[in-house]
Amino acid sequence: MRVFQPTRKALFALFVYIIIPSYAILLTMFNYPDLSKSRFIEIMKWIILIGVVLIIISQVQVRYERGSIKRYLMNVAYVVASLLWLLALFGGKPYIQQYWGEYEFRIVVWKILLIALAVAALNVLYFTLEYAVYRSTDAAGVVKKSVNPRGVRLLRTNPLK
Amino acid sequence: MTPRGLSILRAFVMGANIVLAALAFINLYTLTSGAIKVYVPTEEDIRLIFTEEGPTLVTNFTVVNRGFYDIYDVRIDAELRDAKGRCIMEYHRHGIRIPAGSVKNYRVLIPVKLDFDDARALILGDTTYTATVRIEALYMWGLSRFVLDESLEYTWRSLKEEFLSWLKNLTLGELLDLITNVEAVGDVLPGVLKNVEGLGFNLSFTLNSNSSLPLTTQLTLYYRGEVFLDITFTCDRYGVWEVYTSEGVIS
Repeated sequence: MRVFQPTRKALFALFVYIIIPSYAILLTMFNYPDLSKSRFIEIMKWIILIGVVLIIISQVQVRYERGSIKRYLMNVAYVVASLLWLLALFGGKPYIQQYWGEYEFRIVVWKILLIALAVAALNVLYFTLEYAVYRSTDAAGVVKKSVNPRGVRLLRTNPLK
Repeated sequence: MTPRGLSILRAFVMGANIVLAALAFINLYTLTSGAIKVYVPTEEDIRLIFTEEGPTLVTNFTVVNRGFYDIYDVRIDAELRDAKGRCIMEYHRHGIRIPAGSVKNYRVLIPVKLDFDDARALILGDTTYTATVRIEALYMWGLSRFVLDESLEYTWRSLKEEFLSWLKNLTLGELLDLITNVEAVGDVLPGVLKNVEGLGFNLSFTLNSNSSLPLTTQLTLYYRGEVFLDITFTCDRYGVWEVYTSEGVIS
């Protein structure tokens, strides 16, 4: 029987994207009853949903070696999902709309979203470079094996004959 | 790129991710948890003062900053319209800074565009005002902006109504005390007429010789040394109240 073992990255995603924010939202929701509960619940629904996607990506991506196109695509998907997660945390708009009792107020956060976009671009750049570096290393390894006259198969078969 | 260069870039990217997470959480928690609050005036906070320059509206705004950073460039823009939709008051105040952990109360005195008849109407009749208030404030190096855009309805309770309800609740003993003790009138009346400070007043009561109804109460208001308004309140032997001015019966 195969036991499911979560990776460290998946556990990290579980804490950072689901447990800590959900706890913070619940804490705020119950400590400040004047704020709109339905708004918080809506936000929580989305961050849990996208959080689960992030956990799945974290769990699956370790199966692929660095330098493989699948790993690279998983990393990019992780960055995009993180960005969407942040947007969900802000309520899906470049401003957070909340109600304090009867008053409605907005917190305009597009500058933070802009910074998030820049950081996401930086992450994608890193993963692209990582992909390029590891792919060329692997390619070099393959070449080395192919020119080696004493390959693994040859060594195993020769002494017996 | 070399693997070493990649490691350096990785550390840099990790740092950027941590900074972004901290920014997002600090901002969100501070702003949505009510660490920053703006109290706009309620009906009880609005009063009219008759100064030498003219009727002036007195109210206050309170900004509470319990966050980690200063709130700066607070902009308050308010406009008050009467029941006919006329703008009778405008207020603009920009560039206010509220340090972290402080509570600032801004007392606001705004000249009201009211002529003599409008001011008299305010004393004699209840009305509704609509205030449009826009408050903006920058937080955390301008990364987030707090915006409150509200349209508020205020019911103005006239001096006549305030005075009449006070009069109706007086017991005979209190009334007789007020009739015999002129100083008591001076002590009580400003509290009753708190909505319209600055007006001079004179109050007289007339009861039957045997201290029974009908009661006639004459309230004279003075503004800039002249008689501004004369209001007479009568209560007949059946307890029915009537209010009238020199121009006729109001209610």
